[in-house]
Amino acid sequence: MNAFALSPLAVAAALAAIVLAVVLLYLLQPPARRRFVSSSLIWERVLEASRRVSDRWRWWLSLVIAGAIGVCVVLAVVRPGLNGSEGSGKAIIVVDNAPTMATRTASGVPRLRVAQDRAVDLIQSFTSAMQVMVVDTQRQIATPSFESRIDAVETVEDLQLGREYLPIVPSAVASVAAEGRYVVTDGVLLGAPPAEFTSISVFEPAANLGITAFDLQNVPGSPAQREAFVEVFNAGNTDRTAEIVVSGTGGQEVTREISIEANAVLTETIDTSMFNGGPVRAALTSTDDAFADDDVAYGYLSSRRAVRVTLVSNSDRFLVKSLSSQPRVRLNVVPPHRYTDEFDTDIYVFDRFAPKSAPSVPSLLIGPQPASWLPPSAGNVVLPEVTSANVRHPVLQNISLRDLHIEQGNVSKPSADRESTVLLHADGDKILAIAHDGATRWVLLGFNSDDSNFGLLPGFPVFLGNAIKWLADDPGIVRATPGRVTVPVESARVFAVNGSELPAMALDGEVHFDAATPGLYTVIGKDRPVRVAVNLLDRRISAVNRSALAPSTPAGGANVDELPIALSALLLIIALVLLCIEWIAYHRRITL
Amino acid sequence: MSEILSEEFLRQLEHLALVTRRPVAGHLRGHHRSRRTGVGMIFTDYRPYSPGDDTRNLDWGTYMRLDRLILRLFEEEADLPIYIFLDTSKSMGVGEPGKLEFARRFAAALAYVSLINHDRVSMVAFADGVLSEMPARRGKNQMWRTLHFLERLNPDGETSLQNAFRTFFGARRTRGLVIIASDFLDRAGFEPAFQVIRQFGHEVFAAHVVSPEDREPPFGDDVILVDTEDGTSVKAHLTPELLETYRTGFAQYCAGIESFCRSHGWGYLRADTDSNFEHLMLRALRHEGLLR
Repeated sequence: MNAFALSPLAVAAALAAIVLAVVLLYLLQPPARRRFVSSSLIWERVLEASRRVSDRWRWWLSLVIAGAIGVCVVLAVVRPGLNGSEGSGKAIIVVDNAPTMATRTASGVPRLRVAQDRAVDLIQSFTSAMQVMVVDTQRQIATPSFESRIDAVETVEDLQLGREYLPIVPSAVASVAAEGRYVVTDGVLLGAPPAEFTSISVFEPAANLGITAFDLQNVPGSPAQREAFVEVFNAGNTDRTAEIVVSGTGGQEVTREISIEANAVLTETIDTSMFNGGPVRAALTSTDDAFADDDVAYGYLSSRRAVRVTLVSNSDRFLVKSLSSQPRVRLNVVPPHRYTDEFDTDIYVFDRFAPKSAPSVPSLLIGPQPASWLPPSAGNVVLPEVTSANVRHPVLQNISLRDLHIEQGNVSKPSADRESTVLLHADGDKILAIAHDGATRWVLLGFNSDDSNFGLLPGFPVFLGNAIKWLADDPGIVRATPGRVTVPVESARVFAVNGSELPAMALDGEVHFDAATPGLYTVIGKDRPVRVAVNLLDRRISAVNRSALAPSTPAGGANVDELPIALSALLLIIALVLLCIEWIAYHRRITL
Repeated sequence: MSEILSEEFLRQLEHLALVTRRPVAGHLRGHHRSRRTGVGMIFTDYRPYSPGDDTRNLDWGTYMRLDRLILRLFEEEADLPIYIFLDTSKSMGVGEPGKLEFARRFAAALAYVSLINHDRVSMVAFADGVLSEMPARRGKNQMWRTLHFLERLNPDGETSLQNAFRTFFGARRTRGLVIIASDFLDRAGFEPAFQVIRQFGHEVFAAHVVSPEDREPPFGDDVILVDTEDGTSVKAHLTPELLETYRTGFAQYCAGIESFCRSHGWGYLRADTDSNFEHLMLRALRHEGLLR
């Protein structure tokens, strides 16, 4: 036993407790009653003769017994520990605060709460001199260090759920000298802890249905029709029935009842054509679901369905027909000399024409004349060869340019403008097409349909559709998982779906904010607002039953070394026995 | 008188008289033998006649035979000086019934017996000295004064037998019978005090008044024993063993007093206050030879 491992404060407290115990034992003695006798003459003689042991000896015996009782009680309470002489007096406790630790247990509290309680119990079972390092798997504790038991308990209590689906036990922790290393985890995302760690499992089987995928798309070939794609995963061990409810801000709601087998995935496609647009929420309604974070997912539906297009052209019938054939387009054709930037339109299409100043709405420029607001021209080229195409850009998606033949075109000089993206490169860094993603978008095509066979290619209508969609629709939604979210928007403010502003930090042209729960967030910067859908769409997280550990027992912490509770009980029993001895000795006048 | 002694008990006392083992030295006529010769009934000796002798005591038969005047001598019967010492120290107030009350009745009874037998009775109340003294009284009609004296006594002061005896017998006193009613709880001890009486040649009868509380302390466990006389205290843990030791010690103390008295030819009676008073007076005192 290492009683001397106590801190000076604890030693002082222990001594004070012993003194207090002795005083209490002294006070437990009933006060002597005063009795009047005829004379104390005979009594004095009798007492003098009857004192077989001296009062001093009896006083010391009484003090020794009382002190022994005090020491036993103090040791039983303080429990200075058994291993102090052989170890370093340090322990490491890793608390898993991965997302799956939010799973509700049979007792109604999350696994993290159970883990915190187990960790606290473990810490409190240590000796008072033990130094404890608390580490979490989500790196919330930036610089773990050894601290006192009290501080360690506070550290454990302060831990919050993390959002990283790859929790780790920091490798550096394993190399730190410590008597004991413990990992309190459910073993789902963390898996089995390293060999040098003792695992304390808080895993309990739980029922969970989770949305693992959610998307909103226009139906190909029928742009006016839109669908929601929902993937549901049953992570439980029993078949389940539930309802998928997809609702929009306009009061539209679609409910779909589903039945899903254990450990199976179900996909549902739900028609959302009647939705007005804006935020869309998909939710699962099922009973006894233990993990709530994956029961809801958010998306954003573009509100614009018909696009008003003003074609500024000298009657290019081919282009008129091509635009008119786009399903969402409401076309208006004006000659260039009648152009003013006052038309009630969503986008302009300039055919071999460019206004002197940038229009107020997005525009598609096809073989335009040079203008000051456009990239400087590098001159005309004949039979340029398209050397590269940025087919990942939305404007060129699903378009094959293999058969594109350009007789002549106007090329632009490379620009340092970060908001412009080159779509088509020609020989020698000549730029044939540019997409500008500024405050007002525009797409510049350096050749027209008369000077190329682009209008004859199958991808031309698709190009028009892509360009109109990119120019007219809201910017694409940014998808993220709960936790720290980064959006490439400079100096922006972040708002939750209920309108409340979130604290955000702008850094290096990006904005960072913490999205603790799934939801739809709006990032507003200088440019158009960016919608951020934060969803926990991860089957690894939803699979809350795939633990590498055995289910925990209610007693918990079974793998921990035997704690000196028995010693405390023994000390208390010894104290009780000594108390009885003192009582008997007192009444037999052996002690004072 | 009925408050101290009942009428019936007084009638029984009228048949008793105090007895002394030695001839008394009384100056007045009484019923006790004295060392002086004179008018009496018991012949003691002859002596030649001297002029002035009472001719009524001439032995005329001797004169006829020897032709000499021989005078017959008789023991003169004198009265008995009785000194009744009553301890009125605070310790006599302890007990139920009180030791002083018992001693008061004891003294009253002996005084009554003495007075009706024409003995001279002096009553002395003492503690650490003589507190009050009733001068010698003689005759039955003095009983009321005696009782009046007794009724005024209250327990007070510490005990000093030696001081009391020295003070009283410091004045010239006719030898007589000294009856002491006390608990004899004197820190200076009883022996020096008794030696004082012995020096003056008095006959002594010690009535050791003992209360049940003195004999059998009823209390147990932790107590602070406070001396009623001087207020000194002593802490004691009263175990059965200690109580037994006390009983033994007390018995030894009583035995010591009795032994001293017996060794000097004095009378001793242990008077327990919870015993039957009439029985004590009529039987025990007779047995001890104080009454006949």
